[in-house]
Amino acid sequence: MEITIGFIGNPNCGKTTLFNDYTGANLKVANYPGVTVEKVEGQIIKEGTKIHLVDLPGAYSLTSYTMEERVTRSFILSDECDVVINVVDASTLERSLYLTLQLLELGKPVVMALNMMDIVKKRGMEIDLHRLPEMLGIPVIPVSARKREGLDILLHAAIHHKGQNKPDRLIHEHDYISKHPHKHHDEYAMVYSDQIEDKIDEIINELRLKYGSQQNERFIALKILESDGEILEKYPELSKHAPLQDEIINEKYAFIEEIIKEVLLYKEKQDALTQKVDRILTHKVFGFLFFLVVMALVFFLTFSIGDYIKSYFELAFGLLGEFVTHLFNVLKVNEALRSLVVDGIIGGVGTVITFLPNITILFLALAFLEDSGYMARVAYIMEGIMSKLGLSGRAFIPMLLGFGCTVPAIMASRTLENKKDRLRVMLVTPFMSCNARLTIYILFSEMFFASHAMIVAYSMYVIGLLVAIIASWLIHLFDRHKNETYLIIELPEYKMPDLNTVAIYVWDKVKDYVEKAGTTIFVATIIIWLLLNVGPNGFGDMQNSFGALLAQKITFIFVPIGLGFWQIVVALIAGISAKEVVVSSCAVLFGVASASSAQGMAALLSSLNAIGFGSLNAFCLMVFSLLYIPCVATLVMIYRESQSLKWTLLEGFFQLAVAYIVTFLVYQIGLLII
Amino acid sequence: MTLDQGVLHKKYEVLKIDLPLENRRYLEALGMTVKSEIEILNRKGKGILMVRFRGSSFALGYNVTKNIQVRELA
Repeated sequence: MEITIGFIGNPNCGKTTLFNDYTGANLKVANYPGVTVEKVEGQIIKEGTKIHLVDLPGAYSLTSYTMEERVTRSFILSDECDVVINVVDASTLERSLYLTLQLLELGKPVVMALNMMDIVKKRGMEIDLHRLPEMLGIPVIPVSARKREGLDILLHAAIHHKGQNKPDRLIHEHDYISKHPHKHHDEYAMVYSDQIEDKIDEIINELRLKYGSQQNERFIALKILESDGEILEKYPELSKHAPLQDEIINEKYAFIEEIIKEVLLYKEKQDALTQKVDRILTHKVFGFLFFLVVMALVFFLTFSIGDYIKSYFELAFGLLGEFVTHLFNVLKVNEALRSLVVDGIIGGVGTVITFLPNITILFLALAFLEDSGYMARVAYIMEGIMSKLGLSGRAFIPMLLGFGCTVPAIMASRTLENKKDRLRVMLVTPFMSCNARLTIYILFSEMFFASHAMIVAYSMYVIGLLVAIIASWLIHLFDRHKNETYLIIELPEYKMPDLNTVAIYVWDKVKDYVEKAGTTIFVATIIIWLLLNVGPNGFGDMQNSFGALLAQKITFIFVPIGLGFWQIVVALIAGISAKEVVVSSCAVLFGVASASSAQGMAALLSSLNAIGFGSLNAFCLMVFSLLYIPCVATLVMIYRESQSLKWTLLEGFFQLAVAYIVTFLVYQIGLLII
Repeated sequence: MTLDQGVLHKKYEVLKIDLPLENRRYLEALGMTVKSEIEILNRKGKGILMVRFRGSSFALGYNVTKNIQVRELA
C-alpha cells in the first residue's frame, strides 16, 4: 500500500520540525513545476505502508493571492495527495483554525496534529480534546514535534483516513434555527448563514448546467463567492455573482469563536515570558543595540572557533598535497599533471573546503536566531529605518539572510507582497556580505592586518550594509512612483531552538556549500588553472599564459582603484563563477598549495609584496570583492525571481558601477592618508 | 481614532480597515476582522506597533496602523 500525505500549517507552527521528525535529513528538495516554490519531500515505510511525505509551504489561508497558496491548494486538490495533516500550534489555536476551516472545504481527508500542547499546559490553558474533533469532524491528535511525542498515532490516523472524504460525526449546538432546505450540519463542519448557503446552492445548480458535474462543487461555489481569480478564470460564466467574501470571512471567524468558546479554557492566560523578553529585545534603543551585539557575536564565533577548527582542515589538505606530490614523483608523472592536481585541484578546491568550519558556525548561529523566534523581531526593530528607505521592515530579513548566502536571500525576497519591493531588495541584497566573500576577508585581513584582522573583516559587513542602505535610499529618493510599504509579520513566541531542526538546516546549507565547491568551483578552478598555465607557448609559462595576456590588456582600468595587478584582475574575473574562487585563484596564481595555512599565507604575502601589493590594495580588493557582480548562482536566481533578463543584466552592471565608485573613493582617500 | 494613536497595553476594537485589498485579505486571514479585539504590546516611532490579536503577536508598520480605525475598549 502507498499513501501521499501533505503537511500544511501556518508559518512557525512546528510543521517543519514535525516533518523532519519523520524524514530526518533524508529529504528531496525540488521546485513545483513551473514555479520557484520549493517542494520538500521525504519517504518512509511504516506498518508495511510506503508513505510519501510532502512539506507544503507555510500559509495562513488558501486564497489565490500568493504563489505559495496557489501551489498548496492545487497540490491538495490533485489526485497525488491522499491525506492532509494540518499542523496546528495549539497555543495559537484561534488564529490557526481559519486555515483548518479552509482545508475542510477542499474535500480531502484532514487529520489535525495539535502541536505545542506543552506550551498550552505551561501557560495554564486547557483544550477540550473531545469536543474539538466533534465540532470539526476530523481526528485531532495531540503531538509534540520537539519531544517526538504522538508521531506514530498521527501517522496511523492519517493512514486510517485515506479515502474518507466525508467528515467524522459532527455534533454542533447552534443557537439559531436554519430555514435552509438542506441539513448541511450533518455534512460540513462549517455551515454558513442561510443567505450564503442559498447562494452556494444557486451557483452549484448553475455550475452543473453550464459545465456539467464537477468534483467538490461546494468548494468551487464558495470560491466564486470569494471572487477567487483562479476559479473565476476556470469558470468565467459564473463571474456575475456578487462577491460575499467579507461575509464568508466573518462567518468563519464567528464559527471559530464558537469553537474557541467551547474548547479553549483559560484563554486569557498569555505567555508572560515572551512579553517580558520583548520589552527589552524590541526596545527602541536597546533593541537596536542588542541586534548589533548579536551580529558582532555571530561573527566573533565564526572567526575564533571557526579558525581553530580550520587549522585541522589545513593540516589535512597540506598532508594530502605532500602525499600526492611524493606519489607523483615516485611514479615519475610529468610536471604538468602534478601541477594540475596539486596546485589546481588540491590547492584550489582544498582552500575553499578549509573554510567549511567558519561557514558551518555562521549558519549554525543564523539557524539558532531563526528557530528561537528572534529573527522575526528584527523586522520590527528595523521598520523605522527601512520605511525611510521605502522598504518594509520585513525586507530586512532577506537582506539579513544575505549575510549567509545571497542565493537563499534572493529567494526569501518573494515573501514581500509588493513586486517593486522585491526587485529593490534583489538589487541591494547582493551588497550584504555573504559567507563566500568571508573566505576573501579571512585570507587578506589575516595576511595584511594581522592583529586587527577581525575588525577589518567586520568592517566589510558594515560597508556592505551601508552601501545597501545608501543605494536603497537613493533609489527611493529618485523613484517618482513611490509605493507604500506595509509591514505585517507574525512574531512567534521565543523558544529554545530545536536541535534537530537546526542540525538539518545547517546540514542542508553545508551540503549545498560543499556541492558548490565540488562542482562550480572545481570546474572554475580547472579552467583558471588552464588559463594560467597554458599560453601561446604551451604549458608552464604563467607570465605568458592566456589569462595573463587577457588580464594585462584590461589591468589599466583597475589602476585608479588600487587593483592594477594582472593576477588580481584574473582572480576577480574568476570570482564571478563563485566568490570563493578569488582566493583559490590567488593560490594558483602565486603557486601556493594551501593559501589558508600559515606557511601558505606567508608565501602569498611575500609574492604580493614583491609586486607592490600592500595593505591599502588588500583593503580595496576586499571592498571591490564585496560589491562587484554577484556570483553566477545569484545571477541565475535573480533572473528566476525577476523573470527578466534585462533586470538581471542591469543589476550586474549596477553592482559593477557601485563597486568601482566605492573602491575608487576608498583608494584615493587612502592614498591621501597613508 | 486610528490604531497608530493607540496607547500601550490598551485594548481596542477594529472598526474599519482602509488598506489595499491584498493587505486587507492578508490581515483577515491572520484574524484581524471588523469587530475583532486588538491589544497594543509595544510601540515605537510614529506608530510602528507590536500587537496581539486572536492569541498571536504581530508587528505592524505605521502605514498599516494609520489605516486601521479602532475604538478603545473599556
